[in-house]
Amino acid sequence: MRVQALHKSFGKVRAVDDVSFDVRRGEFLTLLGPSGCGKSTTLRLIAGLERPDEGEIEVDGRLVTSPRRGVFVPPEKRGMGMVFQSYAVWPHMTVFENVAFPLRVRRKPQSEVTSRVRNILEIIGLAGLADRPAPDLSGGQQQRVALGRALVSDPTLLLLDEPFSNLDARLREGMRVEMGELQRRLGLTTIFVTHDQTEAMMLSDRIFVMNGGRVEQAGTPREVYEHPASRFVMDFLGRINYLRAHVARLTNGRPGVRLADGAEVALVVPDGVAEGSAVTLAFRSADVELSMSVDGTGWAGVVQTVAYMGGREEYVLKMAGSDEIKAERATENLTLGTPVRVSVPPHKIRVWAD
Amino acid sequence: MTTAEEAAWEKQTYEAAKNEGKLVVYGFWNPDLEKVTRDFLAEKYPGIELETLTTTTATDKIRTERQTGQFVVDAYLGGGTTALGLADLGFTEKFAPPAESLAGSQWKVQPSSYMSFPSVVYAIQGKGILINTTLVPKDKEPKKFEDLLDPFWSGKKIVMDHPGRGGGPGGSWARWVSDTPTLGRTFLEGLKAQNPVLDAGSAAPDIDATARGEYAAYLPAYPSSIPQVPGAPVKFIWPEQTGGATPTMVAMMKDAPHPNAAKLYLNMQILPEYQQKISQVLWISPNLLGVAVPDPIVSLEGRNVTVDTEADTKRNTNWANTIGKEIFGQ
Amino acid sequence: MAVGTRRVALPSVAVGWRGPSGSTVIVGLLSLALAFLILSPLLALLYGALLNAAPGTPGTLSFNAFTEAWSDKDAWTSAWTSLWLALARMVIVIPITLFLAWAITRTNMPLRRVMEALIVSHIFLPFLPLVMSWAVLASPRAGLLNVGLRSALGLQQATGPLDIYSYGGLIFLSALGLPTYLYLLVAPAFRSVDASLEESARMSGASPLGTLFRVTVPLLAPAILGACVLSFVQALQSFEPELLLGTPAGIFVFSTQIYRYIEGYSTPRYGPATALGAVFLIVTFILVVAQTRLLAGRRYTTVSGRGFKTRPLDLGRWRWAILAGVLIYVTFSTLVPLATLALASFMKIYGLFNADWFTTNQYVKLFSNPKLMLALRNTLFLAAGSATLGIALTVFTSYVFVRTKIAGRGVLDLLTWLPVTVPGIVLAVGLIWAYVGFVRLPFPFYGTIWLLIIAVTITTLTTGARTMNGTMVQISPELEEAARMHGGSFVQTMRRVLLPLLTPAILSCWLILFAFALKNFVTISVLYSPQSVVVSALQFELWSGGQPEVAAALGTVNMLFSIMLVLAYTLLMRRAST
Repeated sequence: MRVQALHKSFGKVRAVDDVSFDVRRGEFLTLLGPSGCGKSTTLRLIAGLERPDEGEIEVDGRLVTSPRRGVFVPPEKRGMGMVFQSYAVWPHMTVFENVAFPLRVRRKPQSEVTSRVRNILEIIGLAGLADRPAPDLSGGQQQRVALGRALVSDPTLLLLDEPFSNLDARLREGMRVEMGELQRRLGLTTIFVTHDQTEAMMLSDRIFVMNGGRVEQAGTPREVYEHPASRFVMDFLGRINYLRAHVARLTNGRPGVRLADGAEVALVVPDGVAEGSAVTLAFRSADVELSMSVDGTGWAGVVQTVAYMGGREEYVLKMAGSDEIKAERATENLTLGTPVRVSVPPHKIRVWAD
Repeated sequence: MTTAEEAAWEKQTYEAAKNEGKLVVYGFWNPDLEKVTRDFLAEKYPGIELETLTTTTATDKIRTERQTGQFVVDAYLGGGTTALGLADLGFTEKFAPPAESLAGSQWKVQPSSYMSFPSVVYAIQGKGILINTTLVPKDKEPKKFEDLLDPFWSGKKIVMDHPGRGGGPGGSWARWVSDTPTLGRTFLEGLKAQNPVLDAGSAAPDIDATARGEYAAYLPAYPSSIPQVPGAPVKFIWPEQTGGATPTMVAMMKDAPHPNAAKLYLNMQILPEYQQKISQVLWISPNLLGVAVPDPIVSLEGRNVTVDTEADTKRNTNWANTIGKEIFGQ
Repeated sequence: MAVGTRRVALPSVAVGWRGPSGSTVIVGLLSLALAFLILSPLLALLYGALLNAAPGTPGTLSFNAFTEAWSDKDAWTSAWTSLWLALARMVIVIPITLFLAWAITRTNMPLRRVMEALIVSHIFLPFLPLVMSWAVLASPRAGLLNVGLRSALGLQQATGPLDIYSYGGLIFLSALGLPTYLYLLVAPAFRSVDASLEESARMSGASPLGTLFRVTVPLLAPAILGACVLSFVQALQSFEPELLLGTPAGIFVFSTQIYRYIEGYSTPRYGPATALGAVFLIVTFILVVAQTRLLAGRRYTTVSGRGFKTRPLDLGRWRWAILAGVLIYVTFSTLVPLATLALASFMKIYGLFNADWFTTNQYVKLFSNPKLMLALRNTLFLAAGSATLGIALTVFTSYVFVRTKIAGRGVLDLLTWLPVTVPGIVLAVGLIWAYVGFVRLPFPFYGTIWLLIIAVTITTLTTGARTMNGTMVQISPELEEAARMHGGSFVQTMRRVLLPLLTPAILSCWLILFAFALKNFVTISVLYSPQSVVVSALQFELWSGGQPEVAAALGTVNMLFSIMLVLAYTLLMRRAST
């Protein structure tokens, strides 16, 4: 599947702004971003539920959307399956009829409908509930129905629009695992939209982080997490600390930055940032190392708050200057007011010019 | 015209009317009158189906129909104001029914010629006072209109037709005003002091409310307005001076779709049997004199009633409307 | 609980409409047809007022009719009366409506279902029988209630204490009638308020009453404001009670003044009548536009696929007091007039109750009335026809307005507001102008049942569109999108998903429109002919023709039929809610 140079505006708002990507067969691709970033609109453009202002969409070598060439295949002719955020399970039908719908509207013979729906219900674990009216189901069951309906007619592409956001935490975890397994087992090409980076990390072959209608970064979960291309991406993917610093030549003559309290960190500074200019150091709370030896290396800080999180603790540290940073560690039983030394492996620190 | 001549005309017209099969009359104001007419027609001239429309806006309906090229209605039945209005629009056609000139027939007014415009006057509705007998003791019964100005009545509610109700009430108002020195404006001003209810809506509910005791008197009333239930607590009174009388008429439409049925119907309205029938059933005062009536009150014979003329009809409503507004502010 | 808030304009199916394709053309044509249907009588009316002549007769363009109308003191008086009367009615009607809706949808008052059925039953009752029975009950001197009250209170006076022929009487009748109609529009909004919002208010220390006024009412502000405007407009164009009870008391309002111009003079004064109607139309239309603007940012509560339950407020012992209040209301709005009329139909003289005068003859007279069968047939045809046409049109306008992004859909929705701004009598005159004065059709149309269907359909559009918009907004658009995604064409999606989901709403709305058509008299009275006589017209003919007893018999039959409709309606609602 190929998406090229998609543009879509609602009034003055540019919801999707020049988005292009390819999806390989069998790939699980995630569009990740905060609400309003254009991820859902991109998905709806692929689905054919919206029409783009510009750009082209091709599925299996078949052009399905191209305003320039006057091509628009309506959604029902695209052969895709979709799970909606609200599940959109039809309340006036039974479980069986909900799942059977895609086959019925394609006028498949009754025997085929029955066997395929039974098969799908088996797969999604609702075999015993075929004749239940849809409103009688729990949230998780409704979601399975929605999934079954999306799968029943062997879609070329499975579209998932925040399918887990209405589930409670435990159910969500279970469904994630199941969905991942199912996708791999059936080899489904899947496009998944979410704002939850954990979900994205867990399930995806590739993640596209979107912001303001544009793709900020694309890559495998590891690439995106470890080498965020922008401050936004980094910020979105984990708990981030920021420290203000200045570019400086360190006492040992190597390039680096100097913090407010004079501490020096040897770092590769982005090209074109002159010595003396202000920068921000960004690093994840999980990468912060603490040591209690007062004379050790690292930056000086004082424990300001402690939050016990079950097996882990989160500390807020007051640093020299007025910056605060958060550190996540396995329990170290630090008490309030304890002076600590903070260090972060230099390769885990990103430097952004202010 | 002899009876035989009339019979020959009737036979010939009936044959033609039977082929037309239908008769459409607008303006029936009373369901009982409609029933009497329908039954009479069914018995005397079977094969002619009657279709009716009760409306206060017959003129508009007929005009609208004619403008849309629909010639539906054969005859209009009602008061002089509307008949005159239809005549002015050129919608009606003069017809003198043979029964009018039957030897020996005596009429209160000449049916087809009392008015210069196309019309056959079949009944005269003389106007008086309807009282509630529970609220008005025998000795307080009004004998003339001025009696309503008596202090006795100031505590009793009188309901009056607003002149806007049409030519009938309008005629009464005109007569109350013009009958100086006995009545005149002084009478209406006196009535105003009694704080009556002036109703421009339908008259029937007011008659009804009088029977119920909501009002002690209703005016102007016709003998035919009395609810015909034995023991009903109402009474119709002919006042000593006249409340006037309204001619009630039928008019044939020009280009009527069923012209023979229309002629037969106009003629039927003044046949002695029909005149008797409507007076018996509805207590409508017949135009034909000498008809046996169910109660002396129905008869116009020997009564001093002035039947509205064409000139009266022309000026009554609007004149009375102005005076109604001047005196009663409505 | 899958309740979220969603802006109306946000969900959209772009897919139904593919550029300037077939469907767009169809939408365009239907919109034009609808615009023609609604606008032609109104524009014709305005033009007619400028011509200042009877429809179809020559005239010259001028503002004479307007000058004539506005130099008439009566016109001013009636305008002023209309205005303050409508305001007074609104002030009284709205709290009653809110009380009823609250008691039935938000509390654990006993007998809620029965009370709701009784409240709703009122909208199915025709005007004339209601007014007839109140004339017997509360006329100042002989009114049964007055006689009873006077003897119970030992009053010596001959009149009062009640007088139905007065401003108070008119307001009283509105208070008994309008809330039932508004209830239908407000109750769904009351039902959709998430109970946890109220419970959190209780937890924060608010009393039940405090919760009602601090949380429930503000949450429902848009629905209440809508009801206010609608009640004001409805009160402004109210006609039958003013004609039958106001006229004898010398009370004239906009609508009856217009009626008086047409019917109260020997020659109808179409000029001032239409001029007054035009002014009325413009005033109310401005009001409606202001209201839709005000509610443009309104948020609707959307109930999506999953179950949604409201926990009723526990009133404790107070629930019996609240029930008593509701019971008093339904007794006077529905039961008392029904019983009075039924009883009166077995008396020899209408309104005189006397064991000796018992008779069944009125029914014999009624069923031997040659027009009865024709009127019944016509009425059923008219009511079913106009309800069906009204539903078809409003499902269309609501779909376009709520579900698509087609330019001008707001105008389409605004069009459906127009009919409520036009008094029935004005609409009728407008139709005569349009189809007699200007458009010469090659086939007979005036006086036929088809013209009545058109006329009545127009009057049903406002209510129909409000109900359909409300329902359509509550159905998550994802349900349709899911169908499109899984192979359903536009037509299949409509047939298999949207229409089945709308069915309960369509059926109950159809019944309401059916009832409106059944009740309609004022529009019909100007337009019917012998072939197209209907029950309401026949009833008026009997009543004004001196047979109120037979009219009462017909009214009783009519009311019994209406009760059957109510039963059908409640059964439908019950089925829809389970």
